Amino acid sequence: MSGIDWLVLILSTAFIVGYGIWKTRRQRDMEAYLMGNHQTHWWTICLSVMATQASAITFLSTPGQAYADGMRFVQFYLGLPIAMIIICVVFIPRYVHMQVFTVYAFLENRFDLRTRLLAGFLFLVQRGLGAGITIYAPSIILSTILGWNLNLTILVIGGIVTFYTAVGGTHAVSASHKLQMAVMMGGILTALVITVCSLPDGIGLGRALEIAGLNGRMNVVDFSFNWNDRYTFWSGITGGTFLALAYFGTDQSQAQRYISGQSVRESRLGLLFNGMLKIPMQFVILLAGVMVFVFYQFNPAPLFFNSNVEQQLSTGPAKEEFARLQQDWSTLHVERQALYAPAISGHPDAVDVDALRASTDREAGLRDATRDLIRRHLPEAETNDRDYVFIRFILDYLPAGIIGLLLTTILAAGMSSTASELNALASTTMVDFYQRLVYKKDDGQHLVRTSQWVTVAWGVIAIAFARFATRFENLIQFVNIVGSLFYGTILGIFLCAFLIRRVRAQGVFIAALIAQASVLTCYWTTEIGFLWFNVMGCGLVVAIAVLLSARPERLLRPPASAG
Amino acid sequence: MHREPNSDTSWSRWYLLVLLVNVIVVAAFLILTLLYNHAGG
Repeated sequence: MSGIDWLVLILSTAFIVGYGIWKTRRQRDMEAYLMGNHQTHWWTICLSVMATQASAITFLSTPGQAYADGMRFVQFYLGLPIAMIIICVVFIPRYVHMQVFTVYAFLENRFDLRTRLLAGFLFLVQRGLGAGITIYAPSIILSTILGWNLNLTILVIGGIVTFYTAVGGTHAVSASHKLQMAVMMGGILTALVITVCSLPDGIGLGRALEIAGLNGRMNVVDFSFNWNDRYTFWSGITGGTFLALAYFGTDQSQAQRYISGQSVRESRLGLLFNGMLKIPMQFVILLAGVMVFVFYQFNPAPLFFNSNVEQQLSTGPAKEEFARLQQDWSTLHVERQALYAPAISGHPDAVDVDALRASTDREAGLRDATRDLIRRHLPEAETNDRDYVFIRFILDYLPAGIIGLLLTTILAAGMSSTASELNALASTTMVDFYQRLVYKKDDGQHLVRTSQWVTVAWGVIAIAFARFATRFENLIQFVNIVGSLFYGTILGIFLCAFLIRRVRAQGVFIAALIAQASVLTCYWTTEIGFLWFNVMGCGLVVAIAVLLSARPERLLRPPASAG
Repeated sequence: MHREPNSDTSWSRWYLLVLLVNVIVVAAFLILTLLYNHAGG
């Protein structure tokens, strides 16, 4: 990284944090600290909701996912607009009518205290884990590839975000989200444009798409039905709707963004614009990954994208074997360029597809051999390098200044989602547990001060978890899997609350416990795609709660005699 | 909380707009897939 990159990174981050804190001076009560005095406009809600969902993992993992697996991951978001409409119709009016600070408070009103505490507890467990991962994910990747100290990276990212979230509360989070979204969109569009412009002469966007398609990377929608396939149109529309409904409707980190709106209208508009912008945004991020794939068809790609592991292989006892693999890799690259000659001259149909497939198989074979080499000689190292594809490309090929901008993008994304998570963890701890069970006075100063310390405590827990987190196969999938394990149950509780009047507190509580146990058992014992756990958990809660809430005495009671 | 100015009818139009935009987006994705995904997924 050059001096100009450091300058861009430090100045932009300092400006975003400073702006957030400056906008939120003088907060003296919980209404201001947790709800921003209900002053948030719809465009701020929209950007804040999008910034909360877009974590650093989104910008590191998603292009790598597209590089390796094509565009089909975009289908994961197809249910999101449907979920936005359902939340606008069903959830928002009820939350606003009851003037709740957290969505779990609504459950006590509808059922009882223990259901509120159960849902709040499931949220704290799941989101507490998530906050650790959202700090850990960018830290491990940036520290590995840039040679930064991992502990220091975790501490700096976690420390900055904890600081401004604790000081400024929800309004600081929303204010900084606007700038962070601007940086994120600017960064990813810049990367996309530069990547396309860096392709060889004669290859514009159209031909690049042709080349991506020849390699199976333009599989944007897939209407085939397969229970075990995570990303198809059907799993996106069904499982994706449930996941989005649970995430946006019942997860305090998202709900806090829109229940702090000025009115029902502002909250609804914020979510509806999210429903229109989210899929195109994900498409652009995935397209950047596909363009990186096309770029590497004409420029030498690393055999393994994690440069740290590559370096260890090059200098360790397996260096001769690795050098042979790299030699074969270079030969293959030259052969592939010859195969693309007709596509470059405007005749993609003339490309020898069979030869290209054979070349792709050989490429996969060389990568497998490299992974095997890593397993044998570096058993501690991670063999999946998808999360490193985009950052390696940025560092190897993008100009100074742009590298700083894209690192700011990744850090802004990491801080934006972590800030919402810490803010929501503190709100739930304070409102649903501390204020409800421990401290029942109305001393605003004390509550704000305690909320700030609770935010710091959650920041410390997240940093500690990030420090001890183990490596996962793919970080974005891990976060989504953890979400899917708990969201179905929480969503089921809320759907019972909103839609089924006859369900009673006792029934929904037992149903939630059974559903959660069943989902966890299925996760450990079956191969079902994780998106289906949302449907399963939710369906089980609703079905069992309805059964348990039926009143058999009514059915058995003899009809009243006439007269 | 401010007074709610809009009727249910105007909200229905917003919901339809969101659905319409996304149907167009999915149709565009389908066209991209049919045009470019020569490898057949």
